[in-house]
Amino acid sequence: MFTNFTKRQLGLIFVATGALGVIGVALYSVLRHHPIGAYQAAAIAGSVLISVIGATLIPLGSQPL
Amino acid sequence: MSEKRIVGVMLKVTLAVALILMIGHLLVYVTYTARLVQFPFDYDQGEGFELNDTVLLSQGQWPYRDNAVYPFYASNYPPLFHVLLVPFVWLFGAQYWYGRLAGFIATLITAAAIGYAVQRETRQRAIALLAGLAYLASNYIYHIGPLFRQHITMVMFETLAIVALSGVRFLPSPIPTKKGNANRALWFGLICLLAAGYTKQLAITTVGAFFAYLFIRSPRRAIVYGIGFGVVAGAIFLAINVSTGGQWWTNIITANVNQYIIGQAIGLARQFFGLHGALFVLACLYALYELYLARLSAYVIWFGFAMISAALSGKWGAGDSYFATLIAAMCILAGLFAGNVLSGRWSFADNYLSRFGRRVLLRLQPQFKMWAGSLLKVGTAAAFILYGLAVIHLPLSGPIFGTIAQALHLQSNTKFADFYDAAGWTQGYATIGQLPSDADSANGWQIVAAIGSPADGRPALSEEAAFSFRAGKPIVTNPTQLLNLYLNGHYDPATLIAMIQAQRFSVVIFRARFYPQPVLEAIDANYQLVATIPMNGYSYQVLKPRQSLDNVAH
Repeated sequence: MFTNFTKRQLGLIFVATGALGVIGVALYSVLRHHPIGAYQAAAIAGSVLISVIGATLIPLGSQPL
Repeated sequence: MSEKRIVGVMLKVTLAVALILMIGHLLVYVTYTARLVQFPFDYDQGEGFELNDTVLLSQGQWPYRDNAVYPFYASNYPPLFHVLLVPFVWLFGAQYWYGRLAGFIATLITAAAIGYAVQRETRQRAIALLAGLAYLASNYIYHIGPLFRQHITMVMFETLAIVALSGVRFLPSPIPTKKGNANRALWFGLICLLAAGYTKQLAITTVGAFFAYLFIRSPRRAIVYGIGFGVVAGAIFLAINVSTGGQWWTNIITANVNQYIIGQAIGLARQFFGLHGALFVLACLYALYELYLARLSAYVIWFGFAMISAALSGKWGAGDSYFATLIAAMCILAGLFAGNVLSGRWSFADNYLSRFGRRVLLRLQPQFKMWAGSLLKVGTAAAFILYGLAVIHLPLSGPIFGTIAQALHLQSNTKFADFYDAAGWTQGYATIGQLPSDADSANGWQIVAAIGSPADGRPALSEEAAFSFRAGKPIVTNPTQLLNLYLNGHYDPATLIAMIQAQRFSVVIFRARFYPQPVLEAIDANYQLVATIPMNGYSYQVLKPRQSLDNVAH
């Protein structure tokens, strides 16, 4: 069974989480007719940061988590 | 003197200064505890209700009750902390000292576990000691450590669980561990985890960290133990819920769904970083090292999950205490970073980052590398000094503390004339920390006198339980619990309001007018202010019936 989790897998999870965060905040603003304010901008920035960290983990390949 | 020797002396001096600072903070903490243990009333709002939970459990009753029925009282915390203190109620009655002492001891155990973890991984005794003491030096831990509150005991169980889990070496580990020892450590960790969850619900994030790490290292065991853990925790949950007629769910879960105040969360995060920044940076560097250049440890995963707990500090009713788990994890990671810097025990996986680092190092002059390495060692140790200076909290009087305060030119920056706290204040930060005075005790007894005696036949409606305990009257209402449930639409205050309108309470004691608005309105209409008595920086309002019912009720 899946015994060797890798840095690449973690990187992909981070990228996906960050992307979902950005989409979530954008959807929230659209559905609530709420302009993107300071808190939403901070949430988007945090999500992008998570994605960037994830992207830098992907090249680590099959190194074990 | 050789360059190596100069660096060695600088390092020793830096570590010695950091240790002196931490020991100084420990002395303040012990003094604070000694004073609180003797203080007979609520020091922090809500302590008395936790004492009441303990008393109810000692009588074989659940504190999870219907808030709409007299005495309109229920607890919003799981029972383990209070259950542990039940024997003390049997021996000494309803007292605050044993709960406060238990909290203090829990912080010492946590600090010892942090030190043990750092020592086990790095073999750097001075750093291990500093890491443990750094936990006790935090303004937040100082605040809540010696209180009759369950939070810090939860942090103790969380820390023990993670330290135990980290001691389990999963294959293919270069360090062989006997299977029996590994299983024992894992079982101990699981028991501590369960204990943490039944001490306070917030431990859920540590449960997540525990099983996330276990899943990464040993998926099969994570699934098997996870199912077992879920079944046991769920069975206990269900059993309590059934035996309380569903009141457990209402009071533990529903009552804790509160408004989230973003400004409070941001203010606390800024304050946290201002105080703990030096060690937080070390902890983040260590987390990045494991993320990119080594394997993830349970400590780093816990650190990440603990940030979720800290983010919940923005909830109404939450506060700085929500950072306590993060502080414990941060102290371990900062200790691991410092220990590895001092011992040079780093190991780097071969990847694009380590190769880039090696290429950069190859281009540097050997002399520069030596000095940079030495600077890193001294700088890392100096981070503990920076931290020790950032978190200063000090009583401003007395032969020792008064002299130190004068030498450092410290003046009160809090609402208490006799207390300095580098934390300042932000929404959600508890305004406590000062040493309660004899005048505070005397004023507390004055409020007790205003409550009257059980002979008058009427209970008191008080926002703190201590006065009723001392007057020998029943504990009626847990105001913040009523407010939370009322705001969530799960509490109808009609019966309580009817009692207030009938002036069935001999006295009302306000600390911060916590009750739901209709209850406050009923009190204002039927009771009048007769005295305002200060205690611990708060003005307690004593209200008596507008028309004395002495000649009506009797």
